Amino acid sequence: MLLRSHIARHQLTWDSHCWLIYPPMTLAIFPLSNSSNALRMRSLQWKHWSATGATSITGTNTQTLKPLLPAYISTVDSGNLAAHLLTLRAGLLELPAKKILGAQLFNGLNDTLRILVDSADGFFPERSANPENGSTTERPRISMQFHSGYSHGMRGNAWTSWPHPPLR
Amino acid sequence: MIDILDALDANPDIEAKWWARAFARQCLAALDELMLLAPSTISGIEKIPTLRELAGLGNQLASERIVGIERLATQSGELAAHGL
Repeated sequence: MLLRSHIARHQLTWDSHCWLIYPPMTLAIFPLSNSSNALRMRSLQWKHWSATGATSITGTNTQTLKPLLPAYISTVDSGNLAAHLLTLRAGLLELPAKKILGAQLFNGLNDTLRILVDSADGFFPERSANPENGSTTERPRISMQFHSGYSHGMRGNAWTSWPHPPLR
Repeated sequence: MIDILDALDANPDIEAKWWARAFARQCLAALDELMLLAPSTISGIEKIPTLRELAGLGNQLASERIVGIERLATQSGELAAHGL
């Protein structure tokens, strides 16, 4: 789920060789050698268990990348990681057919805008006084709309009132 | 948005300023992605394209990104199979 959410949010980035960099786990997947399809992961030490042919995770010192003692093979973590990788594969294969700016982007913009409006509420006074003639002026309000171009599946598309900043 | 940020500058401690900058950052990031992948259509864009659509229009960057994605998918599958 975490991987899929990050795929959806396009938080995966690629370096010039299109290797995968996965920021939340500082995970990097890249060819271990030209002669092998084996891959290596940083941070989570991905052990290639040559005797059994199995690939497993051990507890790892994140600074030195050396296995923590006593060394062990975590079958649970290995299985979890394998499942994550299968999920990652499925998510990656869906990307080319998805819009380059997905609906989730506009949902995020709407969420940020709503928080912004909420946090700004009260910052601008409802009324401003004119010191020259003593009159007061109602705070003008403007409306903002995000239209994503998506006809459905959008949580947003909301009209949001915005307190207009003081006129200068 | 710039006017709003200017107005908020008068009070640097206000939380809204942080959110306004976050909002501006999100908008600029989306615009950058759009201009990077679809610079020729940015002015008259009517709908958001997919990577595959852009590649079909001859967009080299989109084609390269698809190749990279497919390679990563292959690697992920191979590594998962190896682990299982």
